[in-house]
Amino acid sequence: MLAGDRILTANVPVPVENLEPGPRGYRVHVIDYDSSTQTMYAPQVIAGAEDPFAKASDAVLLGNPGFHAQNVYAIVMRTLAAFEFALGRRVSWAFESHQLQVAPHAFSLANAYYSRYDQALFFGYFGDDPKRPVFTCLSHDVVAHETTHALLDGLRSRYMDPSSIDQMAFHEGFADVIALLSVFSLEEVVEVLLDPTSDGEAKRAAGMISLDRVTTEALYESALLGLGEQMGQAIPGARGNALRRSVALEPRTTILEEAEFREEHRRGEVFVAAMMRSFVEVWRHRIEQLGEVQKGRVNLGRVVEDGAKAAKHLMTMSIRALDYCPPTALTFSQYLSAMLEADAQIQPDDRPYAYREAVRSAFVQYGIVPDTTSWRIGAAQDGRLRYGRVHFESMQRDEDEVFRFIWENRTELKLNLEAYTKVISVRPCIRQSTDGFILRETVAEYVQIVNVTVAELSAALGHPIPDRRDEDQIRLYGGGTLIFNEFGRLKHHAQNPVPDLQHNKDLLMKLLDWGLFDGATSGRFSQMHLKRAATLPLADGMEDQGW
Amino acid sequence: MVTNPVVAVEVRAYNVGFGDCLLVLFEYASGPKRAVLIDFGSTGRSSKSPEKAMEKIATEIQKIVQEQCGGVLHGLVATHRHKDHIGGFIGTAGQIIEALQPKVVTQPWTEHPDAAKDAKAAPSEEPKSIRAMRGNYLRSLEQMRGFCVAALGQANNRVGVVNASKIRFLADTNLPNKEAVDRLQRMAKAGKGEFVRAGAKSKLEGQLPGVKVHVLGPPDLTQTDSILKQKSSDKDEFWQFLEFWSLLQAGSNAVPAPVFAKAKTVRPPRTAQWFVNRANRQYGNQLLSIVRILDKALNNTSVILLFEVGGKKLLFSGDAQLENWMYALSQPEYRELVQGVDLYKVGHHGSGNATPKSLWKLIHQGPDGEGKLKTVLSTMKGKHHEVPQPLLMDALQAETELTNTEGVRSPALSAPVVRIQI
Ligand SMILES: [Zn+2]
Ligand SMILES: [Zn+2]
Repeated sequence: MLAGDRILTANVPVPVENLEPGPRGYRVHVIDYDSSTQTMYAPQVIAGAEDPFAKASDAVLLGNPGFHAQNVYAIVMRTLAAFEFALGRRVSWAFESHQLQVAPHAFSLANAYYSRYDQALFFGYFGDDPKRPVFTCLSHDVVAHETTHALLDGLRSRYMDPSSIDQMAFHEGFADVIALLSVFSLEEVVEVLLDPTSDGEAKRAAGMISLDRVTTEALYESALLGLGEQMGQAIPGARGNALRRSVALEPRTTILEEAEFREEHRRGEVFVAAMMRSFVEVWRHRIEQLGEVQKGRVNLGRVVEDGAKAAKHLMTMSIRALDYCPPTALTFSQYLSAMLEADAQIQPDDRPYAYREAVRSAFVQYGIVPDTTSWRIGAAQDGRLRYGRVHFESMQRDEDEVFRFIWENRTELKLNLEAYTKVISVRPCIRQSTDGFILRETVAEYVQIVNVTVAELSAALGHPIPDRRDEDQIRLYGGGTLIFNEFGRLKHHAQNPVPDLQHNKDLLMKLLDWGLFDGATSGRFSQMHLKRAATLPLADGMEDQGW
Repeated sequence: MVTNPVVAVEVRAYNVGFGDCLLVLFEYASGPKRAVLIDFGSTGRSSKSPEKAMEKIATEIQKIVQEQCGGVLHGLVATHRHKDHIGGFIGTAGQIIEALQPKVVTQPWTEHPDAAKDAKAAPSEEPKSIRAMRGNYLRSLEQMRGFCVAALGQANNRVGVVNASKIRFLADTNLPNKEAVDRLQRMAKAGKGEFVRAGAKSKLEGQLPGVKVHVLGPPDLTQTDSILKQKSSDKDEFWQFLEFWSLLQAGSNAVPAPVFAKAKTVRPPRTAQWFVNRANRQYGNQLLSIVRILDKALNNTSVILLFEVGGKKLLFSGDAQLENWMYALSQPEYRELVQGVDLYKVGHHGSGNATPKSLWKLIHQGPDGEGKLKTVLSTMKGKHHEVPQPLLMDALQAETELTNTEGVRSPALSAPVVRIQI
C-alpha cells in the first residue's frame, strides 16, 4: 500500500516450502500471464530464505514483475495460513485442484476477482499514465480480499446461492473484514496510520502517544478513516468507497430495514461497519490496560502492538465462526451467534479484553442481535439421538457415514423429507486457544434442496412472481452444520430448514421481496465490482422494473 | 380552430437488419403530407452489401418525400449515435438523405459539438459542479468509444469464439461513426439543428402544424442529479462512474504495450497452458461486459419524443433504457402524457430494460379490441444479448397490435405501414 507517495512494505512470514519457479508451491501457483498483451513473464525464482527485494527502491519494486509475483504469493499464503490456524485444519479450495492459480497482471483493466470456474484469482492493472499503472496485485487488502472469497467458497460453497439477503451481502462483507483486519495485523501499517510523521523504529522505541489520541473516536478517525482514504487509491470506485462508507456508517438499530441497505453491497457495508467498530472497541480495551508512561501518555509501540494483536485475534474469531454457521441462508444474527459460540467453546473466559462483549455490543448498535435459536445440543436431546449404528472413526471423515447418522436421526434433526439431501463436507479439526488450550471437533455440513415451480410458489403465496414463467423451477435451500465433540457426540446443530410452502409464507414473501427468486446469483465476482463502478446509480423506486 | 387538421399519421418501419429506420408521415385534410424520419441505421445484416440495401431504402424515402410531401423532409431525428440508428448516413445513402435538406435536425444534447468544452452551451443557471459533471460525462462517453476501438482490436478467437463475435457486434455498433456523425452535424448546420434534453421545446413543432411535440428524454445532468436519491452515497456512485471510465482511458490502445518492457518473457510453460487459455477467455468476458455497459450508456442518450395530435399520442423512445426513462417517469406531467398512448415504438429493439414495467403499465392503458395499443418493433433475434426480452414479447403479442420488422422480406418497398386515424 501507499504511505503518502511511498510504497509501504511489511515483512510477512509465510509457511516454509521449497518453491518451483512461479512461485509455485503446494497451494498456490503464480502464473504471470497478461491477456491484454499476450505476454508471459518469466516465472519468478525464489531460492533461499532471503528476500531478494528487501533493500530494493520503490522504482525497482514497481518495475519488477518478479516482485509482484512474490508479493501476491506471500499475501495469498499468509491469508490461507490465518484460516488454517483459526480452523485448526487444512482448508481446501472449492475446486478439484490443490493449487490456486494467481495472475498478478491478468489484464489491463480496473478489476480484480476470484473465479471458481477458472480455479484462479485475477488481478488487473490500470491507470491514467501507462508508464505508471496502478497494480491491484500490490495492494495487500485487494489480494487478501480476493483470497478470502476463494477461501470462504472452499469452506461454504453454498454461500453463493441466493438463499437469504444477508448471505448475498456476506461474501463481500466478510472478504472486506478479513482484508482490513489482515492489514491491521501488520504493525508497520498501524504505526504509520497512527502517526504518519513517524520515521521508523528509533522514534517508535522512544515514542509515546497521548491518551486523547487513542480514544475510540480518535482511533476511528486516524486508523480506520485513514486506511479508507488510502484504499480508495488501490481500486477505483467500489472497494475504496465501500470501506470509506462502511466506516462512516453511523450506528443505528434500524439501518438494515432502510431501503438503501437492502441492496447487497450496501448491506455488506453494515456488516463491515459492525466488525470494525468491534475492532476499535477491543483495541481501546487493551489500551486502557496499558500503564501510563508519563501523565496522559502511553507507549506508542505498545499501542501499535495491541492494535495488531486485537486485529489478529478478531480475525481468528471471525474465521472460526464460519464452522459454527449454517451452510445456507445465513443471516447476520446467526453469524454473530456463531462467532460468540465458537469463541466461548475455546476461550470460556472472555477476560481480560472482553472480545465477545465488544463484538456483541458493536453488532447490537447496528440492529444485529444474536439469534435466539439455540443450536447447542442439550442433555435431553443428546439422549434422544441414536449413535448405535454409526462408527465414530468413520464419522470424522466419511460423508456416507455422516449421512447415515443424519438419516437415522432424521426426525430428531428435523430434516425435510421432501428435499434432496447431501452431506457436502466432513472436516476434523484441532483448534488451539491463545493460552494453549486444545479443542478437537469434527465439522460436517449437509444441504437440502427442494425444487418448486413458479406456479406452485405463486399459488401458495397468493402473489405473482415477477420476471418468471409459470413452469420455471425455483430452488429453495436449507441445510445444517453438525459439530461433533472429541467423543463423536453431536454438540452443535446450526440449521436453516428449507422454507415450507405452507408454513413459512412470511419467509418466502421476504425472499420474494428481496428479489431472491430472480434467478440471478451474486456469486459472479467478476461482475460484482465492475457493474458497481461502471454503471449509473438508479433513482428511488426504480429498482423493480424488470420483466 | 385548426383550418387544416391532421387526419391521419402513418408510420413506416423499414427492415434494416438490426436497427431503426422509421418514416412518420402526417396527413393533412388538404395539401401535401409532412414527413419526419426517425433514425436511419443498420447493422447485423447478413447480406453482402448492407450499403446497397440502405441506398434502396434511401431512394424509397426520397420517392415518398417527393411524391407525397412536396419534396420537403420536415424533420430528421437521430435518437442517438449508435450505428444501428445513424449508420445509414454514409456513402450514397447518406448523400440521398442529405440532399433532401431536412428542415429540422433533432439530436440529444450530448451530441452538441461544443457541449464538452464550451460551458456556455449549457444553461447559465447551471451550478459549477454540474458543469464539471457534464464535461466529465461527455468525456466518459468519448473514452468509452475509445475503449470500443481497443476491444475490437482484441476480439479474436483467443478470447473465446462466442465472446469475440459478441464483442465485435457491440463494439462495431458503438464505434465513433465519424462519417455519419459529420454528415449529421452538417445537416444540423444547414437546417435548424437542435440538441434537446427532457422538457425542451422542439423546433419540430414549427414544422408540423396541429402537432404537439414533447421531448421526454434524455435528461440533462441537472435533471439526473435532481432525481437521484438525495443521499450522498448516490452522488458518490455517480463520481465513481465517471472516475471508472476515465481510468479505462489508459487501456484504450488497440494493442497495449507490455507494462514491463524490460522484463524477461517466455513462452507459456506447459504447466500454465490450461490457465492461459482460461485467462484469455476471462479477459474476453471482461471486455464484453465493459462494452455492454458502454452500449447501454449510449442508449441512454436517446431522444424520447411523444407526438400529440388530435387526441392521439405516438411515442418514440429510440433505445432509451431505464436510466434515461427514470427522469420522465419521476415527473407527474410526463407520466400523464404517456398514459394510454396509441402507438409505441418499442424501445431498444425489445429489451426488457427499455420498457420498464412502470412505463408499460402507463402506456398500456388504452382500450382493448378496436383501437387498442399499436406497437412497432424492429429487432433481430440472436444479435444483441438482451433483445428481444421473451416476457415483453409475450405481452406485446398478446396485448397489442404488434408490427415487427423481423421477417419482412424485401426491405425497401414493402415496409409495413401502421396507420393511426385521427
Ligand atoms: Zn438500437
Ligand atoms: Zn443503441
